[in-house]
Amino acid sequence: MTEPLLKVENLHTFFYSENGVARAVDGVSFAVGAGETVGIVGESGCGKSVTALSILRLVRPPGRIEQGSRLLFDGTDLLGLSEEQMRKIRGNRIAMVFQEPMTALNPVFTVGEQIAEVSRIHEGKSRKDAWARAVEMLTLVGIPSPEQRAKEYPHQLSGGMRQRIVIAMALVMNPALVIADEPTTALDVTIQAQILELLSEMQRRAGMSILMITHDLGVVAETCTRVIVMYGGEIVEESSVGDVFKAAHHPYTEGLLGAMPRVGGGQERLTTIPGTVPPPTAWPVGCRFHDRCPYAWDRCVNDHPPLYQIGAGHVSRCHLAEEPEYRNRPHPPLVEQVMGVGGVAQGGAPGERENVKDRSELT
Amino acid sequence: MTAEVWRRLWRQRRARVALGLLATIALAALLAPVIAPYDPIAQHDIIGLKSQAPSWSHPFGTDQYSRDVLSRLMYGARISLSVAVLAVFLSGTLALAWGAVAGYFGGRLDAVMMRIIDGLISIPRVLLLLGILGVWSEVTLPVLILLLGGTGWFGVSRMVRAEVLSVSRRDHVAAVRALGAGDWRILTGHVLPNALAPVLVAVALGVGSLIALEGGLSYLGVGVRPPHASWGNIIQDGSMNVTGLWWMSLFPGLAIAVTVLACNVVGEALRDAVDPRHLPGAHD
Repeated sequence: MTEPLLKVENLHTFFYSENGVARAVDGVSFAVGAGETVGIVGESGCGKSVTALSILRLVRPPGRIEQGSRLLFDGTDLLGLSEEQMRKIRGNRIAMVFQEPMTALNPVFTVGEQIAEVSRIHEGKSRKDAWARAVEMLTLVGIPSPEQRAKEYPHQLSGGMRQRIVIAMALVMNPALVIADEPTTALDVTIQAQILELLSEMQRRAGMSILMITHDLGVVAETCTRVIVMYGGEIVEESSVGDVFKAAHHPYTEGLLGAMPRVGGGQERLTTIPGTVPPPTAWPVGCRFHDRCPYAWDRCVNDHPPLYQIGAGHVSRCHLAEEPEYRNRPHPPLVEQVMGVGGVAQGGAPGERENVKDRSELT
Repeated sequence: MTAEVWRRLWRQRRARVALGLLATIALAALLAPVIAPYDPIAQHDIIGLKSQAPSWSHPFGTDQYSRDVLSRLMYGARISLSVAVLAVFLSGTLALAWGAVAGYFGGRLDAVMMRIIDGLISIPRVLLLLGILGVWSEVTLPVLILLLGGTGWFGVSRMVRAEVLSVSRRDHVAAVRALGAGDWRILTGHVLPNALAPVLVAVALGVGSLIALEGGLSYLGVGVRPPHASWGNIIQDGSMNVTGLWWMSLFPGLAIAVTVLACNVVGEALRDAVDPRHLPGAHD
């Protein structure tokens, strides 16, 4: 394989607050090849958005990308660039599509002016040329009567249209990499499909790479070739899309899949992952997911798992890779036992739960 | 974008009326040498024509030195309006620059800049001005403008700072940064236009309140000094005998009131014009 377009190595992004150091992104490494679509999945607070912002070096104080992190884009380390050089990359070589089309557009400018601004920033185009380019972009992202629409303000457009505008802004300069941060989360389901279709079509035309940040595995299934699952500021599983859906290894990934509605799946209720992501100022010492995991045993409490190789291009940060027998002994996760929810009654035979101790003993 | 704002402003009837009033007053001031019926300083007949009530030949009457009040009002408008506009322009600029820098860059710089404002704002403005102007006998008009403008921006700069602070954390600002815009472009092109609405309102209201302030100071004899006539001066001339020479206080007083009111109306209409979401017909 040739050198990937983007190579994130050992990325650490910490936030310094009075409550301590929040290790929002804590040693993340992955690569995105040219023309590839990679998904980063995880629930709120797992570090996926901060990862995206870190790549563009848009993390603002008190956040900081730590020494030793490397962001190789097209062979150069973005962390070695000056702010001036970095500005020439943003919006030009790497562009970002934001989550909320309602707020990602400036309310006091027409959408045409906002798209035009990108080429004025990067190419120093005249107002007129930039405007022509903006109208061209509107046509490209499938907005009817583009000349008319270009003169309208964001509040005059629907959510789906606005997201098309945001995408148009990101694509003006034909970037090599587009980071899409939850591009469909704020939209209706029917519009979501259209926007994803638009992104794929743009990708087919321009051959760019997409880093798709989402909490929706459905979006991943539709658009991505490879998936990175993040939890607690780390990558917990990485594999091809097919493997994730057929042979997910990490219990967190399993949990995400179980929480996903399926047509004809015969499930009466969707399962949920109990508890919430622990605060990034105090990640658990061992596996960061152990208190919510239905398989966790004592090893998981103190021994931080490395990324185990599961198969070709498939890694998982779970000790089950070494001790698969524990998968046959599910039990209510620690958070539920502590909270007293769904405790003994649902847990199965006592023998299966003996490996889980009371939290006070563990910590 | 400015043309668009202007169009939206003009679409509002109250704005048209208020702007019309202001334009009339400004025009009268500007054209005073041409259209004023009399020389504002000439004492035509200090015995026969002094303290005349309004009449056809002197619509606003004459003062105790037989000078025509209407003509003096028109010339006074030149001073009062230009002092107010220039002083507000000065304080608006200072407020915008100070508040924008503090709000946008934040951190320690912001803390220091805002503590300075806290200190300055704790000095009562009128007392400060009275103190300086009372002691300083040689106050020329430019100095007066500097003093009025230089003391009027503390509160507004705080408002600018608050607005800039909130706007610069909005998604669309993050979005243009992600598209490669630099600090200067972000601040002037994206943050300030969104933070401008309250400043414009403050500026328009500021013109009004400055006209009133200048009137007050001139009335007390420490503002615009004779031989310059300002609205406040004329009121003062008539203040010795308000019940007898009511026209000398009423007409300049009305001029001040109407101008202040019109400024306030324009300020509000402007706020709606800058922020399209305030306008009726904006749908979401």
